[in-house]
Amino acid sequence: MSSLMGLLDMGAGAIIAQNAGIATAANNAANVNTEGYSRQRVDLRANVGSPILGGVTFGDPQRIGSDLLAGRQRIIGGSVGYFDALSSSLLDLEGVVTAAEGDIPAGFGEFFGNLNNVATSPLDPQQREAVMASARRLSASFRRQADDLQRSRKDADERIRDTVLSASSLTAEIAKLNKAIQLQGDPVLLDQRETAALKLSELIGGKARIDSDGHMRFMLDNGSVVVDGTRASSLEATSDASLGGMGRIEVVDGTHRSNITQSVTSGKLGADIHFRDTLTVRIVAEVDQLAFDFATNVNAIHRGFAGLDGVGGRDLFVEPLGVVGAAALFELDPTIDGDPSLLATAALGQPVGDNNGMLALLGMQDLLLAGGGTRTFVDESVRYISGIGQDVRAAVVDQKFNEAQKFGLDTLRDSISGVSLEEELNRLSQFQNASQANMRFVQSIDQLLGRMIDLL
Amino acid sequence: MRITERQMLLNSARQVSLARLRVSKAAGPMSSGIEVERPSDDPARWAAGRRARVRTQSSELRGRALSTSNARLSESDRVLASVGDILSRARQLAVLSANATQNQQSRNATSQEIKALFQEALLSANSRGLDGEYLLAGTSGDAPPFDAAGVYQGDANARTIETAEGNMLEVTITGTVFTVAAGVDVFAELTAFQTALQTNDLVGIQNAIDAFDEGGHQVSLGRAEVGGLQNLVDDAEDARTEFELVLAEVHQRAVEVDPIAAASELALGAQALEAAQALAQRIISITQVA
Repeated sequence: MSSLMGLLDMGAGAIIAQNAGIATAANNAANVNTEGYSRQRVDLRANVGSPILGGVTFGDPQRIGSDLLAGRQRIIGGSVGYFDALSSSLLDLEGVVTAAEGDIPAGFGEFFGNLNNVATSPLDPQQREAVMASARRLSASFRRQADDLQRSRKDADERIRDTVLSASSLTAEIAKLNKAIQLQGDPVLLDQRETAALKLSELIGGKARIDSDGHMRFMLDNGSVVVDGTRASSLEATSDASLGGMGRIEVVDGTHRSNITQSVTSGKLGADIHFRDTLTVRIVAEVDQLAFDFATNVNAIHRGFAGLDGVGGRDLFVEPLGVVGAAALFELDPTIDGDPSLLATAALGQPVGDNNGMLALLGMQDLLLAGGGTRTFVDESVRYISGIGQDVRAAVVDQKFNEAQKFGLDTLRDSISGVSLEEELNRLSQFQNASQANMRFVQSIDQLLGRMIDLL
Repeated sequence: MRITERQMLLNSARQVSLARLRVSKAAGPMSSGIEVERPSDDPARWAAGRRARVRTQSSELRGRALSTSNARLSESDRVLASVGDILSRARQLAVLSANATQNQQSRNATSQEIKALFQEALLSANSRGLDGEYLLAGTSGDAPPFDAAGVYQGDANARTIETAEGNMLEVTITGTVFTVAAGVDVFAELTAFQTALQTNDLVGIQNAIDAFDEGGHQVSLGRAEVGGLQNLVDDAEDARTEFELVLAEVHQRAVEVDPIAAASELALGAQALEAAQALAQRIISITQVA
């Protein structure tokens, strides 16, 4: 049987426990809209047995969360980051390749159309100039596409460098939080670490696990550890000549550096690397091949015919030295550019009004000379642009799918860790009522003690 | 499943946002009339539309070539008509001069007129087109096809152009129509007639009548050929116009919006937005009460 003093202690302890519950509920309610906040709960435990009979005690506030769910959120975060970045980059690229200034299919249409006009009036300087003008515009379109594609690659490289900096700052933050959590065990720090890890996975993909010592360990897709307990590796982008001066991505741990450029396959970083080193490279190669095929085929025909001076053997476009860079260097031969009369309209040895040169060039429009001999020039130019459209479409579909999954997981997380005002108000009310009841209990014991003292 | 007010709000906001996106996506094509604007809207349809546009562009430029050819043929016809008229007048003069009552003085006067007619015919036969090229020179259009004596200097190569995708057509006529290649050498006959008049060569004068008949006939044949070519060019132009209509239809089917489908989608989207907004308001009021 407890003494009155013991009962007084028990009542006081209960009031403290209820107040802790009130503080926790109030804290939850105050953070109802805080991003990444996980609701907390105070466990009240009934005390039984010696030395105190009955009463209630409370532990530290417990964070309500699921490590398994957080892990899944990080995995989806990597995919969301990847497809968000990829679809955005591809949409920009699509705008670039369909811009009116660089419209290659229209350039072909105009060029071939004007050839027929010269075939009609080979001696008309205006018609000749019209062909030269359309050839100049087509050349400018090729160069513009090459420049824009190169700019898109550079933009992606800049984004990669920014992402690497942000990721390094997040790895350092997670390591710092690992240390702080070990020292303080504050649930808010756990929320902060979870938020930081989610952001990091959106940036660089990878996965994290919580070790038995409570430390978070963060690994990239290829297994490289970037956060190990209180140690963080940094990510660095170093200009690499083999990548055309673009950044090579390395994980730096002290003096040890490992190249991860080809092994990051998720997160924003993975998308930007894929865009920079694979997609744009493929498209640049396609445009270069088209430019190479067109220039070499046109020149081969053009050389076999004569200008108004009766001389043949001239190129219409500067003959490309190779496929690589053919679009960027695509231009009208400077000799012809300055003198439209040199446009080879006539067969060699024929009078100047002969138009067989133009008819031969015109015949190219229906020949399968592009795409490895499978398509016409117009079809090939339309194909590679619509191919980008297909890439965009696929990326957008994946983006929506992953966003829907992310929303589902966010909903699931909220159902576990989210704050419900209704619940918290109920708890507040319960704790307040309990606290008031305990107050009365203490007051009753106090009155009993008072009477006993008076009797004595 | 435990559902918090925040989740209800976020969910309703997401629904409103999705419904707004749907309305905006449906409203765009309704206002522009274009459903496939970017390749990613529908790569296959975009490609079909783009090909149709490029072919239309080529066809429009082909139209200019046809128009130039037609104009050249009209000019050529005018030249042939003019030379035909000259031959007709020369024949009249030959008939008159063949009359035995004509004396040398009147034949000399006729000879002067023939000389003028020769020059007029030469001037016509050496006409240039609107592009500055000599009309009847074949592929040697940078020089007059007939020299001062009326000897043909051009060639017999008619010019061929593309009148439709993969279809070629000759669209010029050469000065050989006035040469022995077509029957008689018109200019040589005029010269011979002039000489016969000057030398009072009655046989030569009488021969000129037949020669001018023959020349007139070959000029008529030439004009008929030009007319035939003009008809073919006109047909090609008609076919080109038809072809462009087909291409416009292909383009329309590929990229333009189906107004009924678009209007239904817009109506459904607007309905969904209204419902989402009503739900969001309800959720907001519930959470405010809480």
